[in-house]
Amino acid sequence: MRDVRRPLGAAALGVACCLGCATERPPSGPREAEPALVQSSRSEPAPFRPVPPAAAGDARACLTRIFADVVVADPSRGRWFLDGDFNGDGSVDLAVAARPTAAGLDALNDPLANWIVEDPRQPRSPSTAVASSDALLAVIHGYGPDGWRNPEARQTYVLKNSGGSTMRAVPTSEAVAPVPGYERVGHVIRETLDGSSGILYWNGARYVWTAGEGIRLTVPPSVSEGGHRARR
Amino acid sequence: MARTRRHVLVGINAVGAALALTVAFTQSVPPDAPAGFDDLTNGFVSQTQFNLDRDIFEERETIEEGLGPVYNAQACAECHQNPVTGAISQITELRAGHFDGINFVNHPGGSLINDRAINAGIQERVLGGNEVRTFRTSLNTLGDGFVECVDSNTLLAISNGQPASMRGQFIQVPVLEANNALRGGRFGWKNQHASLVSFSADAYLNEMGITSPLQPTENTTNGLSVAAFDTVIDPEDDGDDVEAFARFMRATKAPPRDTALAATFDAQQGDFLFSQVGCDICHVRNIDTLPAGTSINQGAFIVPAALGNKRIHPFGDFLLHNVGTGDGIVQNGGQSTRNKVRTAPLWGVRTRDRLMHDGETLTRNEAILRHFGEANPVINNYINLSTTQKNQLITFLNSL
Repeated sequence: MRDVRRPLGAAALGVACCLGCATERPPSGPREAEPALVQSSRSEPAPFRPVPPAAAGDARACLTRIFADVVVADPSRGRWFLDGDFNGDGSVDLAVAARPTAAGLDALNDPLANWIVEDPRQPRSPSTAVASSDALLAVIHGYGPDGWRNPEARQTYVLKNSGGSTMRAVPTSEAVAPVPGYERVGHVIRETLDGSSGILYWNGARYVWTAGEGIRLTVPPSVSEGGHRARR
Repeated sequence: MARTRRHVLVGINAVGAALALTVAFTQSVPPDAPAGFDDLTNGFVSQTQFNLDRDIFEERETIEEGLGPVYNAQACAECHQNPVTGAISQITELRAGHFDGINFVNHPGGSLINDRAINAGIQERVLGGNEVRTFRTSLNTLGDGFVECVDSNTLLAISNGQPASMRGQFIQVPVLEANNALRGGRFGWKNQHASLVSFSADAYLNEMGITSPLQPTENTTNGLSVAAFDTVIDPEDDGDDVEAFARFMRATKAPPRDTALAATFDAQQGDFLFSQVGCDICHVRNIDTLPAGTSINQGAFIVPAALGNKRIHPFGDFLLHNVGTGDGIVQNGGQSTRNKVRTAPLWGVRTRDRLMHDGETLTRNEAILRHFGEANPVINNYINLSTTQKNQLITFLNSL
């Protein structure tokens, strides 16, 4: 295609030159007709829509759907699965305590694996490689009204050193110190890791663990953007 | 005689048909915009002028010239340099604010938190209560002159052609040099600008702290005045630098392909998979610029011959999408854009080692997997590829 086009383009250029280099100096020509002002709809998460609560069999089946035999559920940690809207998009997610299988370790650490491995306690972990002894928490993000039960829900984070024995999902609003007018959507995971209680939460880009009972916020001064002249 | 006339008519018809075909081809498939990481002009200005403008783009500003009081860098090229002036860098900027449950509220002084100040006493910091925080990587500006010359209606048409669940948001933003008349936004992570002059004036103020006639008001530090530290009368630039920045960007070539890698079997297979999976629904391959002579930017700029009627391959749609990555910040697009970012144009992406809007992702595979929300069906197609196919697709990306 390109071979054909080039000679034709050259011919066109020749014709243009013969016609007096009409394009050398742009004439005062047409004007871009800006579309009528486009109204946009809000892009906020849909209201949280619960789905039937997960049972142990559901959690195992979901793990198998995502990982096949690369990891198995780890019921030894007491409360080993829970659901909630952990990424705050209005769709129910599933978190399952898991451990790698001996045969699945290579697949788990495959650079082209279908999941993202992170260590929420290490902002910049020197290595995200999973070891056979690592306690894992697999978080499967829900998609649409059916949440994690939707077969199309495939986005999965494998969190190293997460999924403590006391983990439970709590509304984000309960984990945040009360602030008038402040409302956070979704859930966080409250858990105890290595004897320290803390909260596992989605910060918009990754899962982060913070020690303590809650995230303390204060009311900021009410400053709103004055028009939209500057992007600052 | 009759035979001769018939031959002449046939000849004329043949020439006419060839001309018609040529016109048809040149109308439907404009020539590719020049591409190269070579510090050469695309023809919009002479090489001499290009070099002069590039020098201004690279010039390190001083306090005496108006730098700061709060700022992020001393020169445009500090953030736009890899592999040549005008391109990208690993440098990020910091933004923050607060979500009150309904609306995003700017951090005091604006969502941009300047990383540097000319005096330690006015260093900006993220204040408590501003739980929305994000980094933004430095964007490529090479080839932006062509992007500026794309019709707003073309961008809107791309949006309208996308599946409803993946439809990009087209926003209109003020063109500062046209008395704030609105035009389709296309520059910046939030599509907050539509013209390169507006973009330049904005960056000169917000990244370097230098005021100009289009942005005459100095920034604050966390909402507090820095006038006591500002010794240069505003506007600190008379507008010449802003014009030079815009002229430089308009004269840059588009980021080129790695032609050797692109010619490999794997890259070509990856090229095919890129479409088969659906990546090109948003990472659009081909966009044509308006004809030379067209008035754009609400009358403030005429498309020049060097930029007009060209085909670019940005692998982006210059529209805002929610792909599950936030970033929670609102700029020119209103609250509906809070969790949307512009599709990253992938031209030149092989020069990046830190990916996505925040630079938080370090591998191609993880960058793909971070896409969610509107991109979910496409990402599931990627997940279903074999390891070989994923490698081919990534090889293709590395050829861009």
